[in-house]
Amino acid sequence: MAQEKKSKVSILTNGIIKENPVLRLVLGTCSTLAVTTAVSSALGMGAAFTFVLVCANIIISLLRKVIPGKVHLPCYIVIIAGFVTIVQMFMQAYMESLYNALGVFLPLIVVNCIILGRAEMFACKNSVVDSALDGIGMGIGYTLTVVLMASIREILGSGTWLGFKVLPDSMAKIGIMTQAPGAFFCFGLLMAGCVWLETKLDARIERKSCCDIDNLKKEAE
Amino acid sequence: MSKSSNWESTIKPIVVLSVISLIVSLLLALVNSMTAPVIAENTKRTTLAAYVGVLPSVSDASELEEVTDYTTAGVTGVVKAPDGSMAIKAEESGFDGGIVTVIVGLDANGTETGIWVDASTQTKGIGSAVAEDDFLKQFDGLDCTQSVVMGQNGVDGKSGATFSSKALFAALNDIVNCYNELA
Repeated sequence: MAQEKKSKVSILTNGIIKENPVLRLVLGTCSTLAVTTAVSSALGMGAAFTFVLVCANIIISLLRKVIPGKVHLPCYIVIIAGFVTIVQMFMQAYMESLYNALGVFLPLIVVNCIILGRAEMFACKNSVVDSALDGIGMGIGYTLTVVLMASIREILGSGTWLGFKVLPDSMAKIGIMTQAPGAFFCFGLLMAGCVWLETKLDARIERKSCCDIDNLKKEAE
Repeated sequence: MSKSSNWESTIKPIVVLSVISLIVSLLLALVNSMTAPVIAENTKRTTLAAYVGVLPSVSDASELEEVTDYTTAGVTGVVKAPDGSMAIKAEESGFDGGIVTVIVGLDANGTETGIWVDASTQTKGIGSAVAEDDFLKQFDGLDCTQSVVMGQNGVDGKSGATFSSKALFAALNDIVNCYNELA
C-alpha cells in the first residue's frame, strides 16, 4: 500500500476530528453511551481509557516483531486486560467514588473496540513513538467526545455540570436525556456535527470500506 | 516438517503467549500487593461510617465494640454500642451474583434505627434502586425480632428489581436471625 509517511502532528490530531474513534470510526459506542450521564464519570472514563490505550499501544508496538501472527489477538487481549486491571486496582484504592461511578464499564475497557482496533490498525505496524502519539490523539478524541456528550446530557437532563447547578429550578429538565434514548439523540447529533466540521475544515478524506473492492484492487496494482 | 518450521509455527506462539501472560500476571500480583491493603482500609472505613450512620446513639466509631461469636450464615460483621444497640452487616448475592450489602442498626428492643444498603453491584437504575432512601423508608422502625416477608406488614420489594429485592430481604432475614441468636 503506497501511503505517504504521516507527520507526527497529523498522527496526534487524527483522533480528534478526522478519525475520531467515537464519532467517525464509530467504535466503543457502548461505553460512550453508558458513561455520559455525568461529566465527572465521563472525565474519569476518558482518563482511564487514554492511559490504557497509550500503554497498550506502546507495548504492542514494542512487541510487534516478537508476537507471532497466530496468537496476536490473545497476546493483545492479555496485555490490554493487564493494564485495565492495574487501572482498576489503583482506582479502587485511591479514587473510590469514581470507581463506584464507572462500575462495570471500567473492566469492560478490556473489550473496548477502540483499543483493540488501534492495536490492530496502527500499533502493530508503526514505531513506538508514532503508536504512543496515536494513543494520545485517540485518547484525547475519545475524552473530548464523551465529555462533550456528557455536558449536553447532564445540563439538559439534570440541570447540572460537573455537579454544579447551571440551570435554575424553574426550568424543566429533559428527563429523557439521562436515559438511553437521550444518549442516542446526542450521539447522532454529534456525529452529524463532526461530519459538518470536517467539510468546513476541508479535511474530508476518502474512506474505503470492505465492500469497496474496486478501490482496493486498484491499490493492490 | 523441518525443525525450524516447527519452532515458528507451533512452539514460538506458545512460548510468546506464555511469557507475556507470565509477565502480566507478575505485574498484577505486584500492583495487587500494593493496593490490596489500601482497598481493605477503604472498605473498613466505609463500613465503620455506615455502622455509625445506622446507630443514632453512637457518634464515633471508637465507641463500637466488635462482636465475633455469631454463627448465622450471610452475616459478615456485628458491632455493639455501649447502650446495648447493635449494628449487623449481612451480604447476599443479588442479580447475576453481585453482592448486596445491608447494614441495619437495632436498638436494645430489636427495633430498626437505621438501614444502609450498598447495591452498587446491581444493574444501574433498576436493581440499584433498592438502595434509594425513598425505598428504604418503608423499613423505618421495623421489628427485627421476627422474620421479614416481602409484601407483608407494609414492606415490599422494588417492582422490576426482583433479584435485588430478594437479596435485600434475604440479608434482612440473616440480620433478624443473627439478632435473635445474639439477643
